[in-house]
This record gives sequence, structure tokens and C-alpha cells, in this order.
Amino acid sequence: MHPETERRGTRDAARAALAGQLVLTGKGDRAAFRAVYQATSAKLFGLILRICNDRETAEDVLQEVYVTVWNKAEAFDPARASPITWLAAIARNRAIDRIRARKPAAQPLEAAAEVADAAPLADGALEQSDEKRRLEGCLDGLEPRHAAVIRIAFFEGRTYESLAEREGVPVGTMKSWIRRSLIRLRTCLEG
Amino acid sequence: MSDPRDEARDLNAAEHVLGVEDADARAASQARLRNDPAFAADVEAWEARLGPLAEDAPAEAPGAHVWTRIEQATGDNVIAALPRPAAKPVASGKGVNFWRGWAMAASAVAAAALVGVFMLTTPKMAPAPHHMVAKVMGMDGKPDVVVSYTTGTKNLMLTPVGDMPPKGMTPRMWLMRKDGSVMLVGDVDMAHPERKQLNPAMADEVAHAKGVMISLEEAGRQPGRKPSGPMVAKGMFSLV
Repeated sequence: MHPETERRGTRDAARAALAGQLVLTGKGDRAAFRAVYQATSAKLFGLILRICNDRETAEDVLQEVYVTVWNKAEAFDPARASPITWLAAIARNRAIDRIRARKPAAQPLEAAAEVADAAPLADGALEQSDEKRRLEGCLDGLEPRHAAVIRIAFFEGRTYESLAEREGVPVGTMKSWIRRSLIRLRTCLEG
Repeated sequence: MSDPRDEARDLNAAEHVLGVEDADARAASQARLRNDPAFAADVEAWEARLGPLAEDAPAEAPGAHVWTRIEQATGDNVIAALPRPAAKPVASGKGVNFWRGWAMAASAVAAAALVGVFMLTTPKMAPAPHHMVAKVMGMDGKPDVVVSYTTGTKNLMLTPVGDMPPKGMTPRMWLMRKDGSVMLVGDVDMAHPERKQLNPAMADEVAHAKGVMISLEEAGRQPGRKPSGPMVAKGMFSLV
């Protein structure tokens, strides 16, 4: 088998297994729930930590996320969402809720910008899903600075105001960058 | 996708998923998610579009205690056995303590009461920090809220997992004390998880409580010293 085909086969199998474990979790299967946690907690924790920027808070949020997963897994439909997308949406939502609930003043997030700005590593690209590759292709079609802002918004959970301040542009400008980029992404992904 | 798209709604969904809304706009979108199925469908579509970016998140191992807490918070072992018939009124004549009261420094009156508490229940050994969890179950056997509390950090965390309350009703949470009395915690927002750092008096109450219960009250009704509406859920604390 061609290495790339083989890799894709492995990845698809892993994804199907995870989807199956989530479905079982929805039926109350604790072993499956544990397997979901083992397979995904490091990734979700990385995602949450970037947004919360504080380990203790991020661990609290991670706990909330998996308690939610346990109770809401019944609603997961493998035909409609990939398991990682479904889990990541819960994780980002909880993390953003948490940082929106705290005072906007204390958010020194400079360190987080490095990774968000970085282009995906060449090695890592091999592990990407087809959806991710398509999204990257579409992000590449945007103005580089706009694409960078979309990534920063996604990984840091920043508001329009905070992004505008970071980039040194008026809020109105930031809104139009992001809105235009989102519409272009949608068109590109649907094309 | 031939149906005409509502552009404003779709953009709202995209911004919500990207996470660029401020707290107010975000709350508005969350309310809309519950009431507007077309908006919810747009949000789901955007989660599918942008979600793959999460693959770039660096993996980072959380502490091992996190899984222990999750197991406790989701396990069946914390479900309450049927408790006493009804909670008795609280003995104390203190004012109502809502969430903000819990999180803020104790008032002079409460501080005075606290001195009393300390004098009555003198120095048990200071316990090592531990983690308490109560899974608050509705009468249908489904969980409504998971309450967890860490004595070391005095952090109380509420994770709502149940359905939204009926219109015009508010779920109100009460601490169940060991003597059978109850103490008001506050209204529960079933839409958002909450975390509060408790002041010492409240921390002490929680550390010695049996569990929590939830009554369903008419929205806007001032709380008394005990629930006016029916009790709809309860759960006992267990130690982690």
C-alpha cells in the first residue's frame, strides 16, 4: 500500500474508533468514556490552556468539559460531526465562557501568540485530516495578516476589541477584516 | 445548499464559533442558540468549518487528578440515597446569601456569626485539602448539575448539565446541612458553568455540608429561608 494511503487508513480508523467510543459513552459505557479521555484529553487541554493561559483554570475547565461530554455524548451524531470537532467545540466554548466571565484586564497573552502565528509544521501536515487540509488551503488564500488574526482568534478566544488592540487597528477595521475573511473562507470551503 | 441563506444570521454564527464576541454578545448568541434552530444549524456548520484548526493545538498532559475528579463527578457512587422527608427551616436568622454574597467578604453580622461557629465547633484537625463532589440528580434520574468543591482553594464549581428550567421558573440551590436544615446558595444558571471562590464562612459551611438540593421557584420571587417551590433535584457530597 502507498504510505500516504496507509497513513490515511490508520487515521480514518482511529477517528472511527473514537466516534464509536463517544457513541458508547452516550450509552453510559464508562470504559469507552475513559478511552475517549485518554485519546483526547491532552489535545483538548492544550486547546483550553492556550485560551485560559493558566494551568489551574484550564484543568477546571477540562473537568467541566468531560463532565459535559459524559452527560451530552448521547447527542453526538457521527454522521453529522467528526468526534474531534465535536469535542473541540465543547472545549473552546467552555474555555471562552470562562475567560469572558473574568475581568478583561488581566490577560497577558503574549506568549500564546507564537504558536498561533506559526505555520503548521511540515511533519504535522501529514497527520492532518482532509478537512484540515482544505481549511488550510482556504486560509492560504486570505491576506496573510487576516489569516493570522483568524488563527489567533481561534486559539486565544480574544474579542474583537482585544484583537484590534493587539494589531493596533480600530475595532471597526478588525471587524471588517474578520467578517470578510469568514465569508471568503465559507465561499472557498463550499467551492 | 440551495436554500437562501440569512447572511446576518450566518455571520453571527461564524463570529460566535470563532469566539470574538464580548461577554454580552456571546450571552445573546447563547440564548439565540437555544431558541433559534436555524441559527443553531448555522453554528454547527461553522463548527465543522473551523473546528479542524484545533488539530494544530499542541498536546499538553493535564494533571492526573483531573481524571479522578471527572470520574467522581460522573460516577454513580455519588447519587444520593433517599434522604429525610423534608428539609427543616434554617435555624439561623441571617440575611439571604446569594452568589455575590458567597464570593465576597463576610459582612459584620456574618463575621460575628462565624466567631460563634468557631467557638462551638472548635479545632477539629485542619483537614488536608480535598475535593468534594455532588452529582445533583433530578427525579427522573438524570443529572441536572454537578457541584464540586476543593477545600484547599475554596473553589466551588457548578457545572449545569440538565435541561433548561420551564419558562418563568428558576432553579434555586440549597446547601443541605448535617443537622437537616438548609441554607440558600443562590439561583442556578442552567446555561453556564460557574466557579466561585468562597469566603471562609461559606467555605466552612460547604466543607461540612451533606449535599445540595435544588428547588424550582417562580422567577423573580424573593428567596426565603427555605424553598417555596418543589424540590426537583438533590445530590450528596462525596469525597475524592
